[in-house]
Amino acid sequence: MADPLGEILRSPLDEMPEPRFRSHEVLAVAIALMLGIATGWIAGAPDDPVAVATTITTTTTTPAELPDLPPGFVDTGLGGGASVSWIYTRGSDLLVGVAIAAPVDAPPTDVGATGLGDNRRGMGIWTVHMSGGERVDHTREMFDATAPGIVTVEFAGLGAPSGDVRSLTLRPVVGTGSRNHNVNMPIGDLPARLTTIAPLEATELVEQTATGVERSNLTWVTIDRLTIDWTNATAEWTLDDPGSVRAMLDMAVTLEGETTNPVSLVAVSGGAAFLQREAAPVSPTRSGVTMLKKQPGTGQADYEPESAEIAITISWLRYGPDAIEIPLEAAILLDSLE
Amino acid sequence: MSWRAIAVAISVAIGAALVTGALRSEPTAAAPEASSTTTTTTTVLLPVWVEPAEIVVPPAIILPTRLGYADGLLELDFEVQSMVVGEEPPIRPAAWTLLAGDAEYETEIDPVASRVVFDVGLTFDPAAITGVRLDRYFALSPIQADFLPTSGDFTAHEIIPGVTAAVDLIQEQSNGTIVRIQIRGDQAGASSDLSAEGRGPGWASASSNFGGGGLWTLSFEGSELPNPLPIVIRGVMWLPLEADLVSTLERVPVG
Repeated sequence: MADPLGEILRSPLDEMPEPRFRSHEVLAVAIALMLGIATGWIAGAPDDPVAVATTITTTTTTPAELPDLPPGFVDTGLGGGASVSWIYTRGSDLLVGVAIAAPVDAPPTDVGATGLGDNRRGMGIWTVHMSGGERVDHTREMFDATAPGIVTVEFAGLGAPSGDVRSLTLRPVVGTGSRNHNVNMPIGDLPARLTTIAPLEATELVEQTATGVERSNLTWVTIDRLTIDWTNATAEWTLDDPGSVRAMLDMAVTLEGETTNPVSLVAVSGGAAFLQREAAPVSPTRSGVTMLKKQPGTGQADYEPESAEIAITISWLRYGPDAIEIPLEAAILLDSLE
Repeated sequence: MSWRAIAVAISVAIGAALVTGALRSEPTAAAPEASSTTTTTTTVLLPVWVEPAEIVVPPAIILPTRLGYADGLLELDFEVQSMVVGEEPPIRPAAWTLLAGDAEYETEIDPVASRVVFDVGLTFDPAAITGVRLDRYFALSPIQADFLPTSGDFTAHEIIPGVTAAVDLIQEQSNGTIVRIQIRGDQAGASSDLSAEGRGPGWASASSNFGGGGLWTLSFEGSELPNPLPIVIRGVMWLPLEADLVSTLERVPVG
């Protein structure tokens, strides 16, 4: 028989099936789960801590090396760079000032005023190219130790304004040297005029071969005329080279005869020595005139000269075949002088 | 608690321990929290021969070093450095113009000075400065020039830009002639490094007077003085050059 009170108090939930786990059983399973996790956490801990993988990327712009020469300069191969600084005309002569810059790493002792060292005789053959198509080689290079970093190049007799210059090139010096010669010529009364001195060897290339030494590329200097008197002498000379060599000619003449103190004549350096600095060097040329004067302290004109002992030193420069164009974009043009 | 619940609890505990231990003992590199990337970019200024504030005057560079403004005067200090290592620079700035907006302030200086002063006035605003321009300078230059005065010509001739030569005196001697040559330059000292000498036979010596001043005495030995006189002037001189070279004065300290 049904229980009425139980019928009244009966809940719909009383019809629900019996749960598979009671609350205390669920609690036990949860605790087991937490214990399992804890056990696994402890047991699974690595022996050493694992380092955090870190990637560092550094982007650095590699610094470009400073160019050896300032902008606007071209390497001459002579230990420095060159750039035209100014151009002006003086009468029919054209003068070009070329600035020299030392490379950044050049020690001071290797540079000097022009990159040529103390014995500056020339940088090369300068050729000016004019708007009319003419190409003219320089007549003189001017250096001075008190004007460092600048060489004045002269083109004598060009007769063109500075604005007509289109470009300037340089064939640098590739070799230098000197040769000594001694010549003895009979002379009669003074003044004497000698025109028969044999050509003198100036330069040569010496090459060692299997069979011996070969000499080639000879250049000769001819003394076209040598005039001598008791106090002065003048030697006019030319070089037979077609264009790759220029030279300077130094000379001394001793008038030999019946005397113990013969008159000697020596080449004039051109320098005015009194209270002045050293004279500017002489430019090498393809032809020239060497002036001689009586050397103080030598004899007097009181004997009969029989022969002239002539000592000659030929200093030469050889130029390479390749021409370097010297930038002139920054050149300042001066007005022409009368 | 039923046997069934106990078995389930033990299984759960073992499984949880295994899974947790496995996960912890094998961390993966790919895990996002396990790696990091640091990117560093270093900017390196490329070396240059000439800074914007510098003025190239071959074979030298002019470096403005300081700007200063006080009492209506603006000062600019500068150095001149040679491009030829270890040598005294053969450049002397002579005339400058300060650029300040539409205004320009011109001035000339002693060529041996290392400071240029512009009279800009008391109301001048230094912030208006946009640059400075080199208008004129002297360049030391080796030179050689022929001077061929005819007999009786005692006038001065310009033989090189800025340099004149003149016959100052001709005096006959018992065994020759004394010829005195006067060399003058526009700039003080311009003629001090120039010498005069005779070229050709007969010229015995050349000397300058003790006080300088470009006066040279040449001795000619012979009976007849050449006409024209073959005189050579050579040495170095300060060549005056007009320029138009601007410095932005960028990064020039003001003090």
